[in-house]
Amino acid sequence: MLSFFSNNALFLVHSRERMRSTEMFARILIGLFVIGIIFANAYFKEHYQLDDGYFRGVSDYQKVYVPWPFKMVSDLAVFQGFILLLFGSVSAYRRGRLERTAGTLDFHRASPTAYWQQVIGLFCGATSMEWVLFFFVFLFQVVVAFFSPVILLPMIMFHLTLALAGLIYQLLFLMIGLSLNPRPQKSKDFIILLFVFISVPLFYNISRPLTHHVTWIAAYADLKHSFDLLFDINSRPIHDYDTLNMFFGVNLPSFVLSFGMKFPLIVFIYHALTRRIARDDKPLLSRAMTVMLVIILLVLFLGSSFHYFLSAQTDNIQKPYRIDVSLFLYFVFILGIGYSYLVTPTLLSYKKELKRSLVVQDGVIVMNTKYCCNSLWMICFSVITAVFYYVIAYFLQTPLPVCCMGLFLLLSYVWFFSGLLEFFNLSYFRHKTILLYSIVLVLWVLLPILEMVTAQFMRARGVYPTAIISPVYGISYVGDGLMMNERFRDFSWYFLIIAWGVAIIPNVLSFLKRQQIVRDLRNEGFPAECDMQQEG
Amino acid sequence: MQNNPPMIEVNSLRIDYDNVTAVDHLSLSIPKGQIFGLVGPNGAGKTSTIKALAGIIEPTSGNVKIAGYDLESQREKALMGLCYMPDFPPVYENLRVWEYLDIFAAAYKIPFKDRIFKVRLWLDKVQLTDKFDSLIKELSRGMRQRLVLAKTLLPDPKVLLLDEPASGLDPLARSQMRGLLLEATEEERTILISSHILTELRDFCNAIGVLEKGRLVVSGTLAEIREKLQMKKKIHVITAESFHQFKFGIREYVQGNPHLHNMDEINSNKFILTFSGNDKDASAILNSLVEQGLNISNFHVKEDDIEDIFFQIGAKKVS
Repeated sequence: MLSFFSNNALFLVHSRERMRSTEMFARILIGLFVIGIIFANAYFKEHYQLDDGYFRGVSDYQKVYVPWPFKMVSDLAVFQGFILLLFGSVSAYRRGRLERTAGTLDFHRASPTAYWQQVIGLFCGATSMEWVLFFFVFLFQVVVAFFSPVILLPMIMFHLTLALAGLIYQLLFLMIGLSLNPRPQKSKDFIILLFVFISVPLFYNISRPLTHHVTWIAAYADLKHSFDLLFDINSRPIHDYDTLNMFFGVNLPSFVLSFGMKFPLIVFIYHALTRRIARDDKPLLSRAMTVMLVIILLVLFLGSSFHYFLSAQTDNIQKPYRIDVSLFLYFVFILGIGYSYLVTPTLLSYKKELKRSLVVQDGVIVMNTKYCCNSLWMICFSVITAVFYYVIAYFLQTPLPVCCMGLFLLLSYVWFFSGLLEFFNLSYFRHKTILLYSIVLVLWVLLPILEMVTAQFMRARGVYPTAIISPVYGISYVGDGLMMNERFRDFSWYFLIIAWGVAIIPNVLSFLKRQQIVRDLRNEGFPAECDMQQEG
Repeated sequence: MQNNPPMIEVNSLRIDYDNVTAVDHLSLSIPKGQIFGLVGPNGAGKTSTIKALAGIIEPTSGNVKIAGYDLESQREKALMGLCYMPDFPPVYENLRVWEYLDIFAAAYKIPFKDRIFKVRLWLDKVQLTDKFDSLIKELSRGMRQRLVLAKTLLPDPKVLLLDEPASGLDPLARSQMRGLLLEATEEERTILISSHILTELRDFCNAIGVLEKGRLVVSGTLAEIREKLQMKKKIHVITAESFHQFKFGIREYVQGNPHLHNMDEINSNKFILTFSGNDKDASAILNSLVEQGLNISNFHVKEDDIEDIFFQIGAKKVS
């Protein structure tokens, strides 16, 4: 282990730059100062205004509320969150970006070090300081735990869960740093801040096992829950703590579920990082890995909402599953957009794939193009989605024709986007992405809004045809269909034909574009032929 | 051929960028110990070729073998004996000079205990010993280039890829760099060096390849290329006095001699004869000129060097 790191160039670079004794000393000093303030806040707080309006002394406060070591451990846990999730993510992002802007990554690419070693070295080196500080605070908490009734096990579980969350965030931001355009631009550190801290409360409000356990919320919820069990605390309980730990209807230990959900994501991000380290121009995931990611995410989603869908068998009036149905549909849609980005080739990668699939059959150059275009991969996505969609429809007892209509409508949006993206990637417009997003904006947002406003003026009712081509509105119809709501009755096959008509146009264009590229490449001929011509 | 297997083998290499083909069907075989100069104007595809050989960019098609190992399927083995130096030296600004060399020694799996010795040795060779503990951001451009060269040579590679190693350097730093490179060529290394500054290559290349618009127009040893292009030698003649009174006689002699093709007057004391013969023929020409009464102070036969080859190919516009 020690030898691995002492011989890992990327680890040595970043750990040396980050762990210079002067910098380390300064950070530990700041850390001690913060710990001191937390200790003072927990122990020496003289007065506290209780709910009844009276001021009490330290002893009263500590009898009524949590003893000071618990408060100290909780506050230190928040401090650790800042270190690992915020500073760690920022550092990982900056170090990844530094490798790209300085051009030093090329040296490592040209070295005999394996890519997986480079990823581990870069990651560990980039975030070494934060992990050292994290363990430093952990040791401090262990010392506090020995002098107080704080139970070690929940504390260790908290640290493990937070460390897993830290891994996800840091790996993700390292990947962003390595993937962004290396040309000088304004720092994007504030985006990290926004992502880490503002997006998570949204997940918290959704309050489903998947959104709970893939973020850092799970670590703090577990710590709070274990403290709540120890004391009769007059604080806001975590709503539905037990249901947050259910997977496919089985109640699992929180750490097990957290690990089970985070681990596959860590593996995928690590795989993407390895690909990014190896090459700048490759998609982050191979197509096979993208398919696997979609399956795993859908399994995690289904497992996470399973008990809600199961409740459809008993409670069809309150419909506690309605949030899960909407979440599932938007989840599939977003997944489809992300999937399209990963499987749709750029012009360069498409040409590379074509060149590699050149084969001679009876002396004629043939191109094995079936794996190159994204139609095959979109069919794959549609089949996977259909399986999960039908499982949910089965629980909700949705009739098959309604179920099919909803599914086809949902998939039409993803097919439209992937076709448009492929056409743009392969055509002259590949550098004009603003045009792509403008088309999407007009068709998916502006046009439906315009028609709905007009319809409001004309007091027309029912489903609007242009609203159907937009997922913003269309997905709600699909949800209505799945849950057999009244509103779905206005929907007909006619609208489905419109939606698919719109989806097919970019796919036909991209098909024609692919044929043209294949023709051009075939005319170029075989490399061997050219060599022979040169020699001749 | 079996005694001297190719250390760099490129077969039908093609490199595409978004809307341009940088390298097109390039095939190359460089045997052990050869110093191969890749010549071409800016944008000819030299850097792309070198980057593909170093495993930095993925070719559209074709394959590369380094020391017999396939670069795609046996990457680590292929790159073990290969070092690459780009035209612009990328460095970690906040690292110390010794640390920079140490990390790349680690990347090439040099044992921990030997590293500091090697670092000191190479810092001494590139005259940066006094900068041992300095931060890299304090170094000048020339010093950085020398540091990167030290990093490139430290693992004692069998194959060296040098992409415009002296670009952006002042004449003194350029001369120092040339000295270091000449030293590097003394051991039996296979070197692929690219440059558009042809005088840079003249001193150490024993074979060249001319790239133009991504295609290898011609390649081989200098003698092979001269033969291929049927290039003629030049006889430079300098007289002590003006040769005007002999001019007519010399022209007649040139026309009558099968080894002489042309006469270019440079000034009243110098003229150049285009020549295609051996040393004996040259000696006979010298004697004839002296017999005509020419007072010759300097007479030498000059073979075309890389620069002449490049310009001759450029003039033909082969692409």
